[in-house]
Amino acid sequence: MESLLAVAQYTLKEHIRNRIYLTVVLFGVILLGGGVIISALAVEEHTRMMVDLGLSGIEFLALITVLFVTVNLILEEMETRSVYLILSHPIDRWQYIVGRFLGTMAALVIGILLMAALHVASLKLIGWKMEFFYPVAILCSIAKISIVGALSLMISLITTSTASSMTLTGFLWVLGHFTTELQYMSDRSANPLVKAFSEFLGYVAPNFSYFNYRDFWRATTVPPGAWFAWLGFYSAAYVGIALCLTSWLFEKKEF
Amino acid sequence: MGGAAIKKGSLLLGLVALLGLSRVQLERRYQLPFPHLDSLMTKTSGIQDAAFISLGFRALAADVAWVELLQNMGDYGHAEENGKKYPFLKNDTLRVTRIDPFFVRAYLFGAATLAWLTSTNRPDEAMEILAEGARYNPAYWPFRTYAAGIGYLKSNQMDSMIRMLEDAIRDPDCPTMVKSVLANSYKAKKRYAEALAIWEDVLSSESGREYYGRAREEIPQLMRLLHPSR
Repeated sequence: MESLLAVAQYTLKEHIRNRIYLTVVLFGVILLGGGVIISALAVEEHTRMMVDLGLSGIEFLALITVLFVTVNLILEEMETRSVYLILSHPIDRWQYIVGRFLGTMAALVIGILLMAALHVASLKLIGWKMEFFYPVAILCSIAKISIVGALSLMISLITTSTASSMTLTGFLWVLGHFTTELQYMSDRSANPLVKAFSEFLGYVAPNFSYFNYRDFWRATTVPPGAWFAWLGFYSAAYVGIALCLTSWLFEKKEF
Repeated sequence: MGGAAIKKGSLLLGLVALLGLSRVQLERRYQLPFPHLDSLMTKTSGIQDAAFISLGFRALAADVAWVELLQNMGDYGHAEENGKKYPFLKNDTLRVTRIDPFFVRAYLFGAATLAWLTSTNRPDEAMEILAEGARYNPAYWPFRTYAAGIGYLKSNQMDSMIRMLEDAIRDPDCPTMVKSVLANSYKAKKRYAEALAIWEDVLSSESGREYYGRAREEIPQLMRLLHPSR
């Protein structure tokens, strides 16, 4: 456990020093500032637009960061051979993978919370009052980004190329938002092949629409509390499976 | 070695079981409340809207469509098609609300503009918008109030329509445009004090900035009508 935490800690420090991470946070500040101006176009709905723009912007920037960071997380250490140094210590390979993932997620959560704090501050300037949906929406975004991070880490070990890893993860992002439509398509299709294929994709890909609470908190009926608990289990299971497979792939690698 | 593999295998199987169970529970406990992509208004901007939704930014897509609706009103609002002003208004409103069916102000704005602006005067289209809004938001009372108001407008029962609009402006989502319609109706009925109160309210509120100019014109006029001797 100590080794795992040590890896997580050094990963966190590494990300905080990383320029891409800082650039994204800076870009977030600019985006949120720009949101104040852009939302004025929505006339009587400028508060709504600032809320939506901020929450979507935070998630989008977190997605970009997680893509750039996780895709190179292991590959870079393998290329620079610093992984040899780490694995020469008494540490299991799964501990190394989980530690790297946890450190990365800690850095991302800090980034998301910083951006959320800035967003809330800019909303307060126009008289917005904090509502319960906001922290829930941020937590849902964190859960979604953690799934993307775990999947991206796994894909990076399968493809061993940064560009293809990022493309595949981006594809999974879109597919994950399309899951409900795939199920709908499968229900309506008479072709058994299309039906089977869309059902298979619908079950394998994570349903990211569940995490878009920022989109459906205004709905007439919102999910009950227990639903969010199950969403937590769903995220944990996806992350866990992806990390198990990543560890297995990493153990198969020869150094 | 074999023991470790069994442990890892069991962990993986346990996680797959948890994933399946949680997925079933999520589906059973709540259905996502959005219409499917095939109900989007795709004539002019289908790719843009579908792209936003596929990337997971539905509410933002609706906001962008709302801004585009307002811009279209400003840029092409006075264009006419088959004698209709704002010919695109119903479809543009439905574009916003099919992306986000809970964007109540968009229904109210579209319906009110179609029904009460003398240059549009298409209450039937307004009723279609309100009916769709009520289907997704059955508990939202202003839709019924607007529908009743439009009904009275069609049957020329102005006093009853005014009573409905008085109810409508109690709603915080009420577009300022509806307030201006009520103020005009009061003025037509020579109820100047009530008209003045509405314009003063518009001027003191943060949301209806685009009506400030109109309020500043109306207030002195109404003051003169109320106190002709001054």
